[in-house]
Amino acid sequence: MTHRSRKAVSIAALLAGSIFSSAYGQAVNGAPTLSRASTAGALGSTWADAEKMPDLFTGMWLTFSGFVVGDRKLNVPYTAKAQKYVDAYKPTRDIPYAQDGCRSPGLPVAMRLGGGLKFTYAPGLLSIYMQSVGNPRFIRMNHQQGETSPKYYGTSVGHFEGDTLVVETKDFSSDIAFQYGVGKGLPPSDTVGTVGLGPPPTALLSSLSAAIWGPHGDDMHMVERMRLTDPQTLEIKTTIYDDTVWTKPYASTSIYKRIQKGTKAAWLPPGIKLTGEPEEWMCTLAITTFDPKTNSYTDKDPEDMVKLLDKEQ
Amino acid sequence: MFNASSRAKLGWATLSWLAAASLGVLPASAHHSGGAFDPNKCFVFKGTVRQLAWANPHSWIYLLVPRPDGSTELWGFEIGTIDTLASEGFRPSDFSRGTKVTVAAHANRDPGKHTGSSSRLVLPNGRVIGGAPAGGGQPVSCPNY
Repeated sequence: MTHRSRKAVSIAALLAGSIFSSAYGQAVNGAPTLSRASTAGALGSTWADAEKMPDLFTGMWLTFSGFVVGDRKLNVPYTAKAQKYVDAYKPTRDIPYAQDGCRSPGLPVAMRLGGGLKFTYAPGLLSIYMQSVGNPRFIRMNHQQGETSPKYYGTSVGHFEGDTLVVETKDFSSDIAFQYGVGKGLPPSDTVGTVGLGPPPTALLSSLSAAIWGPHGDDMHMVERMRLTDPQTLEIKTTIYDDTVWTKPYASTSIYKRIQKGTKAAWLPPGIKLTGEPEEWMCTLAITTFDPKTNSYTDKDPEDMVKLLDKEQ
Repeated sequence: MFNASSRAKLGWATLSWLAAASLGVLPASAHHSGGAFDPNKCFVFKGTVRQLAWANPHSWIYLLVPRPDGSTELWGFEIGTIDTLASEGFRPSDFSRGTKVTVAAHANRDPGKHTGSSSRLVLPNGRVIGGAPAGGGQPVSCPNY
């Protein structure tokens, strides 16, 4: 994008932002919510807008920020009810969604996993393919939320405020993996094992047990503010509102790096090829599963698996 | 690849990338931490392929492993994701029934379970899946099973 076109984008986005600044009101806990004002002409409504938006679309985005260690210092204050829950909470060795059935953890965690994000656009609709879970999420642009029903990724509407994409999402399934905060976790000896092709970094996996998971309130909702801090860096500020869990909104910032074919970085081990292209991630068969209730893993019995696989052939 | 001191220097953010990158070309998440397997308990298994589960979040290979008395035991080993294996040029047909393979694997913490996580798998034509540890753990010696 040229300097001139960037300037045009900036002006268009500011105009769009000004339209929405009047179109948005304040809701519970200060979260913005769409009013019924007209949204015609706002950025993200036409094919021509594709040229005017910040380039979220080239390549993919890999996160730099963890949802456990990255949030360790937030210390968002709990409600009395949630504090009681946290005080009695027993750390689990793994993320509770790593279970049979290949179920997604849902949002907000799905955006913060280690896989890539791929943004695509059609007039009035932004989609983000979250490769970690193999699913896209959909953001209706310049749109009222209207009627919703509980979903793993909620229902999202978005608009631009200047160069920032603001996405409001509400109505989440009660089954999502919902993080309250970060606790002490378990000692590494209880958590570290091996994954696929060799022992993983100790610090990373032992940290997973420090996440505190729990039920969310019916009105839990979130606002994400996404902007490029430089052409290769995407910052997403996520604010989660749930007054059954916290006395203040849970606000965290994740940093993502743009990955394209041939992207090179000093920290990458030799031989790792980054394509920047989305790949199918169809989870079909979880042979090792984790049960958070017993805090233990179960491998499907090899004899049973061979019988099953024989039958499928 | 890197040791404990460099881990501290690199910090968690970089570790996150490394862990993610170790799981695929453009990685999917670690759907479980691998905590079922003991990082300090590694064996080398020589056997023949009985079945393959070409699947996400992890593929598994099932081997018939001969015992000294002539009988065989069935063992299952977690291997890479579909993306990881495909990016290295592997297809399910590379693991057809009867193929002789050698697997160095971290065994299940539960000694009663015949499962493990492969850290290195060698096919008869010399092709290898895995190799050096993907993370910061020190390699452990792996005696023959």
